[in-house]
Amino acid sequence: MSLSRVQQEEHIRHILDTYGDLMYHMSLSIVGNASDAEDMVQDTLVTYVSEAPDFPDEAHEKQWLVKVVRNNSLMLLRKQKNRERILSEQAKVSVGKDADYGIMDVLRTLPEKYRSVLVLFYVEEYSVEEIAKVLRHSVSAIKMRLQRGRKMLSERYKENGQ
Amino acid sequence: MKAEEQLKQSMQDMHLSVEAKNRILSNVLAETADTKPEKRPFYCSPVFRRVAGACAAVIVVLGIVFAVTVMRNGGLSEKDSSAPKETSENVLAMDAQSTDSVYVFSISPQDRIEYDGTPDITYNSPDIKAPNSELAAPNGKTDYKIIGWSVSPEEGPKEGENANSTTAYNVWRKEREVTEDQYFQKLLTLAALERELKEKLSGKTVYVLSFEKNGERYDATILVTGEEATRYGYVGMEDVPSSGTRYHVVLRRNETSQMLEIDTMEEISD
Repeated sequence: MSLSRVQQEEHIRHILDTYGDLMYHMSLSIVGNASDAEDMVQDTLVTYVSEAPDFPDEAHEKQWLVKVVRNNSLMLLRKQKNRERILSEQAKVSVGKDADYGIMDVLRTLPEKYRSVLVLFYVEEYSVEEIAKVLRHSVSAIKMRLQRGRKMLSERYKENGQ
Repeated sequence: MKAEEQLKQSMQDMHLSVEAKNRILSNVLAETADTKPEKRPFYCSPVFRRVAGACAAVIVVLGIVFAVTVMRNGGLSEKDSSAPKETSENVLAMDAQSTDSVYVFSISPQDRIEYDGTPDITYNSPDIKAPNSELAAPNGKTDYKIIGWSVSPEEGPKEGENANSTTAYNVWRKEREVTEDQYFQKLLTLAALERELKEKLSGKTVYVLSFEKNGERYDATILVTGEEATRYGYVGMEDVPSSGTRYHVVLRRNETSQMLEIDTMEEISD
């Protein structure tokens, strides 16, 4: 894929408009931090431009972006020495007027393997089969994670008095 | 509202703002301004990996087949080079080169000599076609088979029985009766035929070159050496129960080492 500077800018903007929120949500569910999530989206796009992969269709391109942003976010999380500090700081981040931080706080208490599945299924409306492809797990494993994650989310949400 | 519905609504409220998108875009462009897209090397592409994997698999399979073939051939060659086989071939070669002291067998290039580990040497002549081929019996029966030929040095005539022979070899034509009829259950030997022919052709040395069944007759190719010339001949042996064995001998003069003309036709009967 050899594009001029203008074409490249248009292409990146198109990617951001189409998949920006998807990548942002995925990263946010992992790192729990809006600024870090934005950084992960940016790193993912840098990788995208640098490697210039060829995709047979948009579905593959979308899967690639989700996988890379998830991996980047997990790597960042591993690098953090103090997760508690991250969790305490993330509450201070202002992301929007109508944002409900209660459910997000509860989400961040779940293990990462449940968070990604819940976000992809309920927020991005992926099918179970699509999630299995992106996360490279079996459909039955995804169904199990979805069921357990939903149960944990619901229980902890109620425990917090929401 | 359920927790998952709440999650969806909250997440949808969180989105990249226009400012954030512009910031990300400018940063991405700045970071990639001096770097050209780094194409992955060809050997990292999935297609190359699949092709390379398939080629490697084919090479491994071919290598295994080659190794097995080499090992098998090695085993056979080792078996073929065993002493008994060489001995049998040498014996027959020596006989073929001899002219006056041993029986001479005709061995054409397409003949196959097998050594099965026993003292007998199975001699399969293409003239017989197949060892198990059915042949018409004199009485019209077709219920016996030739199961092979063998050369038995130890069963040849004793020294003294044939003055010109230092080592005698009998060619045994092995027949197996399929039914209970014992008429063809016998072994015919060239040595026996030769001895009989020598009595009829006194003063001449007779060698039987080949011997085969031809219809209801047993035909043999003989070599007759006398005072005048060396002649090749054909012998037809007809087994007539009422009058005994009848031999038909056709001699040909050997002038150009080829069998060209018929000299005489002599019937030697009882």
